[in-house]
Amino acid sequence: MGAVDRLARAAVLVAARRWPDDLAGVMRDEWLAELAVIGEPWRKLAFAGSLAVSPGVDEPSWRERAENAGRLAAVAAGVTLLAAVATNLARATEALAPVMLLLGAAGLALAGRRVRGSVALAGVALFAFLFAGNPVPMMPFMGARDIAPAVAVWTIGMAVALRARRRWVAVAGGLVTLDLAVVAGSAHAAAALGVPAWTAPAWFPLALLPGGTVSFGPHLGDGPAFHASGILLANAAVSAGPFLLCTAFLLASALTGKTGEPARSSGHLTRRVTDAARAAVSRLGVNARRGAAGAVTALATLAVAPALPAAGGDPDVVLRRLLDNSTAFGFGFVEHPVGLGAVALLAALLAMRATDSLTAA
Amino acid sequence: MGEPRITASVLKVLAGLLAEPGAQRYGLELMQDTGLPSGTLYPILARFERAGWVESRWEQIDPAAEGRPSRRYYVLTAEGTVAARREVALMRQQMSRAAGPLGQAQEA
Repeated sequence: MGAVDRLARAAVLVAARRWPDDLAGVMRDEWLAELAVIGEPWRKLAFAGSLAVSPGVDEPSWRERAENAGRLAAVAAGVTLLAAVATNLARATEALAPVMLLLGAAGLALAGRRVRGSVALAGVALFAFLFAGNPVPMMPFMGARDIAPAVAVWTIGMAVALRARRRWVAVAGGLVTLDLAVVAGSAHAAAALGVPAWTAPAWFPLALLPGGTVSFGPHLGDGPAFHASGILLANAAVSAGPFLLCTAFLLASALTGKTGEPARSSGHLTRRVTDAARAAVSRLGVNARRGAAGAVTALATLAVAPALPAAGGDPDVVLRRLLDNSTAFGFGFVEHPVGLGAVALLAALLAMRATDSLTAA
Repeated sequence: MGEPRITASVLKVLAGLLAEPGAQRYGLELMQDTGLPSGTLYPILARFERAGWVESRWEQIDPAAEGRPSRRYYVLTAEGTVAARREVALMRQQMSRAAGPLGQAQEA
């Protein structure tokens, strides 16, 4: 048997293994029989290669896979953006920030019960948004060496936690992941600022509190002195809020799917709002309602996005925001036309998708 | 088991099988008739068999005497023949409706 025959045979065996058990053996024998009568080597390879790269009988087609990936990517980007906006709104309430963050987490959890999410794509979106939204000049410890470990630990930790069979294990795994992700993202800052490592487990919960609630580490600054913990926790707060809200979304999304509960709106108010929205969109044609939803959302995003807190150029303002945690997410990307356009396009796509869901429900 | 979703590739296979409704066809032959690659054809045949549109059986030969392994043959069932004629007719109807204004314009 020549190299081409061996390669073609191996490709056929790999392809057959992806078919259901009741068909795998039959298909393997059938394909090997066909291979035996094909003369030209290139036709053997084309026959076997096509089987090896094509979806099996019960696997989704490439088009379905691409549509699904696009949908999950849009959801990941939308949830990350929503989490960042909610975090900023919560931070703006200063003393009430922890309560508002928990309310935001509850809101994202409600959304997660209706929409399926992807941990890997959420990780990619979080990295992109944190990196583009918080330029290093504003946040001294928001470079790739800070964000990358935090997002990597969060993504791996969430992927493991969501595999848990018991609900409480998944939730506990999510909380541990949040703590570890913030530690991973703050380790560089802690080393540079001289903050003791034994305080690490407390960085995540402390990053959810208003700035200055607890102080530790060396004193810094020539004027009114502040502790190193102020800088460390301010940086940690940038990612802790979006991490918390995205975790709530993914846990709700996965746990709803695990128990087999039907996706449904929770509570009378949500149901009434959904019913009213459904009645409103049903009066329009399919394309008209999708187009209207997309256009209105895009225009609203273009109008509102520039008002979101951006990285300031004034060092005093930046320092104050750092120390009181009032700006958790920089939204630096909406200062550029391309970034603003991308956010408007994303919001429009999600609105059109939501309109489709309302119509189909 | 529900009926297979009708796509352009599925219609090609149905049309290929309908060319000789009672004939026993094997995969490589259908690939040549339809122009479909193996990775597209075999999942369609498997769905047809699950839906009861085709039946398959192994060729009864002596592999040593023939110098090749037995082939798996597919043949349209009565139900499959009805379904295939219905789907192909529906497709032709839709195509003629779509080509109607264009055909009339070309004739003018």
